[in-house]
This record gives sequence, structure tokens and C-alpha cells, in this order.
Amino acid sequence: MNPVIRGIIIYLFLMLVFRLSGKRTLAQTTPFEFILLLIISEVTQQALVGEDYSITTSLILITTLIGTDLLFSMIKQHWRGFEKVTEGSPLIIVANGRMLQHRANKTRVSEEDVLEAARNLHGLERLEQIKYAVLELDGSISIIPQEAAE
Amino acid sequence: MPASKQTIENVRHNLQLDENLHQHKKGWIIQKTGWAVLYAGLILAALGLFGTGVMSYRTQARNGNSIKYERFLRYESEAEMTFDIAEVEDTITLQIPQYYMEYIHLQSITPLPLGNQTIDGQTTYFFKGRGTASIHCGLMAKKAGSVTSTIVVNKTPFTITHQIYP
Repeated sequence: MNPVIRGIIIYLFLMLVFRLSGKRTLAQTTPFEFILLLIISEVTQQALVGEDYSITTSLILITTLIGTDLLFSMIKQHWRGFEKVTEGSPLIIVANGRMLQHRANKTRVSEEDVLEAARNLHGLERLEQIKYAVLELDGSISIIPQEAAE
Repeated sequence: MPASKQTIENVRHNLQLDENLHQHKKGWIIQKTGWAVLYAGLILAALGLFGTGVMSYRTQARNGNSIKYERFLRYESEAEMTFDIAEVEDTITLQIPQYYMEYIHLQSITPLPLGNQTIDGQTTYFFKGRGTASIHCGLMAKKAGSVTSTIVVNKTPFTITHQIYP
């Protein structure tokens, strides 16, 4: 198959699968998930290159992937709706020290995940010290402490 | 409360944040549908819809001869095709159309044929044998698409179809 078409198919498939699997999949929350991402990249590389190890194919594939990404970023810039469809939007999961359990369940975020982010980012000790926790587009959790918000 | 019945909390906040809860709710429904499609695809793949599995394996038998092959192949993946021949008197002939070989590369034939000839787009391999015999062909798909072909083993025709995924 033509490397350009192969590159575009792989790009679109990965985008679809990661979008479907949710924001937390990309967050590399555990060492195992990090290894999983490495395995996915290895499998993707094989699907992209196949048996063709020529420099020409590599250059075509790099250009295809960067070109597709550039095209998507331009579409996102001009049409905000497309960005929301492909990347979603941030979501508040803790408000005023209270875990919004239904939101957290839907996005597969646990209280432990929030507390871990709170400890790492601000050295906070308890959930009550958090004004807001926001699940960002990249799957990370932003913490706004109570005192900072006041 | 089951997850499907949960109502998502509305939050009044003073953050400069476009939360768009309605879109999140739609996204979660699409996500669930997507998961169902993913798992369905995974089950079908495990069963052999994309090759190597019970859905893919085919056997045809006629006049005491039989052929085992895979219905679904993947581009550049390896597969096997086996012919079991009964009542061999002296020679076995295996006739394969060259059209078939445009899609499928015959990597190996075991046992090795004594010779071959190509006439009118049909390649015939000759083997010596007596009693019952099996011929194993190692295949590799070289072109994506669908190929239907009639392979003749000792005057017994078998029409086989391969669906080759890119």
C-alpha cells in the first residue's frame, strides 16, 4: 500500500481509538500504561513501515504524519467545533473539596488520582483543601487549592 | 445506582473554562458505542474474521481428495494450504491458475514437485506418489483484494476464495 495512504489510515485510527478510550489513557498514570504506549508505538511502526526500510519511505511517512497533524491543527483553529469533537473539553471533577462522583466515574478518575495530583502539584494533604480539580484535554489533572481561589 | 442512571452534577464555578457538559454527555454515549464496536471487532478478530481462526479455516472434500485453506488472509502474512489426496496410483498433478499467483505467492511446496509446466495461464506441478499423500503449500498474500480461483488436484477441481486484507 502507498505509504501516504498507510500513514493517514494509521493516524486516523490512532486518533479514533485514543479518543474512544478516553482522556486518561494518554495520561501515562502507571508504569504499565507507559509500557503499553511503547508497545503501541512499536506495533504502529511495523504497520507503517512494513518490510520497506528505505529512507524514501521514512521521509514520506514523516511528511505524511506531520502534514496530517498540521492540517488537523489548521482545521481546529478555524473551526472550534472540530477541536471539541477531536479533543473534547476540560471537565471539573472536584468542586469545593467535594468529589463529583458521577463525573469522575464517567471519566474513570479516582479520588486517589486527584489526591496524587494535589500532592505532586501543591503538596496538599486532603481533598477539602482543593477548590477545583479539572481533568484537562491531555488527561492530566489540574488542581486549584482553596486558598489560591479565594 | 447504575452508571447509566447517574445524573451528572452541575457545577457553578468562577473558572475561565468552557466545560460544555452537554458535549461531554454526548461524548460518553459515543464512547460507549465505540467500545462496543471495538470489542465486537476484537471478538471477530479472535474468531478469525481477519485470518487465523475458526471463521477463516475452510475445508472442501470431493472424490476422496480434500483441501484445507484459509478464507481470510492479510497482506504479506503467511498461511498454509494443504491438499490430502487419496488413491494415488502413480502421479499427482496440482494445477494452479497464474491469476491466483498474482495475489498469492507460493513460498514453498512440500514435498518438492518433480517438475512443472505452464500452459494457457495454468501452472501444473507434478509429484510421484502411491496410496495416500499430502501436499503442503506455504503461501504469502502479495496483493490485497478478493481472489477466487479453481485449483485442480488429480482432476478434482476445488474453487476457493481468499479475501486479502491490506
